[in-house]
Amino acid sequence: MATAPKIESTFPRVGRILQQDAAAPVIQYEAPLVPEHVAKFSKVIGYSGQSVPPTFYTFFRWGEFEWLRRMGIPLENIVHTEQVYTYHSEIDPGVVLIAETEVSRVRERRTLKMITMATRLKFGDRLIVTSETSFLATIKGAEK
Amino acid sequence: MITGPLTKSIPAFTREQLREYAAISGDDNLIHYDDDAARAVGFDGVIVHGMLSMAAVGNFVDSVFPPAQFQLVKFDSRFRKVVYPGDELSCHAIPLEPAMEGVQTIHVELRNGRGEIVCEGAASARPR
Repeated sequence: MATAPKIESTFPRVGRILQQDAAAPVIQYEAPLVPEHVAKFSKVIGYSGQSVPPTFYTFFRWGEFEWLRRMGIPLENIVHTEQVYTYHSEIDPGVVLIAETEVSRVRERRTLKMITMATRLKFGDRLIVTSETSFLATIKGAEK
Repeated sequence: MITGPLTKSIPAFTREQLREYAAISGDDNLIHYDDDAARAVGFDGVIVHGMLSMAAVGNFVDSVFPPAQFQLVKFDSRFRKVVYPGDELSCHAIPLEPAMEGVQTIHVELRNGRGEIVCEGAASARPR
């Protein structure tokens, strides 16, 4: 049973939701790359460089959480197993990126579901970063 | 050219840092800031976000491949073991044979005080 008060984010991480049709394979949304957000994130992780920290793009994981919600998988039932970032081109903060998140692979084994999601972050037609996130999820009811 | 193994101790994560990271990252899973919720799913108490561990490795990667001299191409991590706040941690890097022309790659590990690998992966960068 949880006893700590729920943590609330102090600011929104995503902008307008551009595509969230339940039948569409991709959730598309705005991902504002805000200098103040980069600075706050850097401070929390102890990053002292002047660039965008390599893992900053986790800031835009809203699409992954939305897919998990649609799949009926609570956050408490998942374990993050692998993360891959591919950096295609550099961009300075102060722009709005477009994020596209899809479920790229799902495998089931006994009581576990292995899920991989991919998020492409673009500025116009220019691909900036690709993020691949893999989870292990406990299948609801399978333990009974 | 990166040569030889590199090692760096990093500060242990604090509970306050986990709360701050939950707020900034949006990963507000209770297992990262509520001991009872973490124990309910089998942990000894709150655990560090995998992505916060990866961020610490990312800081290390940034020191190996300074952005003024290198452009990061790829960075990946597999999360092997749970990290608790207060755990002693260190980052390790070993240069790998180049997989692509003009790109340098290192194998990176985050180890706990018992020498166990808690997360590992690779980072590749291209000299500017």
